[in-house]
Amino acid sequence: MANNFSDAQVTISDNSLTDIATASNKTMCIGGTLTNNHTASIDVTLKKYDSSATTDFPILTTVPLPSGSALEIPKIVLQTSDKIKAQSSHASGHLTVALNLLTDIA
Amino acid sequence: MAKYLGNRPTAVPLTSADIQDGVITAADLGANSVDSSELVDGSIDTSHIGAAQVTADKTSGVIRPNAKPLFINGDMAVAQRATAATTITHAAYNTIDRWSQNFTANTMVFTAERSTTVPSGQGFGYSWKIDCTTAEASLAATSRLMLYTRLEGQDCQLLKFGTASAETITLSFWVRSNKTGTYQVNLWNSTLSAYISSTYAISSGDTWEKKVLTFVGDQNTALANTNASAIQPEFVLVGGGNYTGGTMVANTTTTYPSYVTNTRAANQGVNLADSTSNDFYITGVQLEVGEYTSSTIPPFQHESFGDNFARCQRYYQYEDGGLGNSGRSHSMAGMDMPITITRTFPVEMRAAPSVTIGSNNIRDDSDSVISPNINQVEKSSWWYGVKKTGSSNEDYGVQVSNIAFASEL
Repeated sequence: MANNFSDAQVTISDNSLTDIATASNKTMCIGGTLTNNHTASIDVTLKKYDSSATTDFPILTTVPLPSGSALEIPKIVLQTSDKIKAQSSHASGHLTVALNLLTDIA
Repeated sequence: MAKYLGNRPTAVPLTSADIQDGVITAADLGANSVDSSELVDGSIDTSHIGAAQVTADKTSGVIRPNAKPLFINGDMAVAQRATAATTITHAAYNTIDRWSQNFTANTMVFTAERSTTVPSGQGFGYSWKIDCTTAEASLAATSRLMLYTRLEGQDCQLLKFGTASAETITLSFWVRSNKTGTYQVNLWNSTLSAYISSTYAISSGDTWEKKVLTFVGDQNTALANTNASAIQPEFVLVGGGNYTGGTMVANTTTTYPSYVTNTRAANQGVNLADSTSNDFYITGVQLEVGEYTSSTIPPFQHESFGDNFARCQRYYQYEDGGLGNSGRSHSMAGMDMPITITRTFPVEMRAAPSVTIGSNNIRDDSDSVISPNINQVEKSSWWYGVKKTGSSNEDYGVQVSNIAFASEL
């Protein structure tokens, strides 16, 4: 199977844990950003959902993100049906998540 | 790891819980990176300071290593004039050395004494007790009772009054009274005849409480560098209508305004003369250069009684002793000439003192009173002469006692 590059962009508008991407097969998140669109600092959380364990594992937990700044997301390996989720501390979200994915990894 | 792109957060400073012991060393701190604004009161105590880490060159000029307390007899230990209850009068030193009072009364009468009622566990043996023995519940306008001590100007130059660097002063004392409420304290710049004021509250009756008050230095007028009075804290206990009605001069006023009568007890909430049940105790009075709080004020500097006594003798000395077998005696036998006796004070006095001679203080060898003839009194010595009368070649002697020398401020 040939590898493919893909991406996912989600703007979060509440403070719930939100699915950003779901792996349809073995996938690697090779980079991405969490961007604060608000005029004040927000706290951001990033989790990887392990489908085999049916558990969310934290990658970043309530990390302060100043206004106008972004956090660079590290590489994350995803198995089939694993997910990347993000959450803002702000009731209106003000958080944009952009992921760069390498999919269809054999 | 995730990296910040753009601003790092600044709104979430580290707390002490975020920093483990040893994480930050001196090498991690830039020059001047930590100053007083980063330190909260009480954050550094003795457990955080290693032996020899603070040396003299790291202390500020407001600390006076090895210096004696600015106030003399703040522990009320020396009472050369009297220790028992003595009726107080205006500007008179009745009991405790170096401590007097401004006093004007209509009917009120107070006594003062050296009391053994002291705050427990503080190392004091005595306090100064002021007791109302005749009340004046409705004060006359002129009635007042204000306790004070005075410091010479030449001892106060370190306060740098009259400059932009004038030091803030911290006054600390232990106080107790059955009469709860607000009391006013004035800090006089005697050179200028001006003062600023602060207040304290006695919140529990008949309970010792420690009070700490600060007063900024006067940046406008320097203290005269002489042996005259310059700094005078004044503790208000009674203030009649002449002394109230104005607006109290705040203790943060850097240019002391000239004396205005109706501010002197403006915020005094207590009339200590309103009942003969009232009394007032004070001890452990100290004056520190610099601004301190109740948690940072240095401990009272306890002097030996001897050192304290000697410092008091600069302002008052008393020669006592019974005339029968003691006192200071001088005699000459078979002489027919005047004798002059010079006495040197054990401590040089502030200025040439006034002399108060007790009765029967100079006698001849037959114990007959003769008139003293004090020829001269200087601040370091005095001398007197007597001339024999009667037949020649008889033994002749004099005894001296009950003579007081005062050069109070």
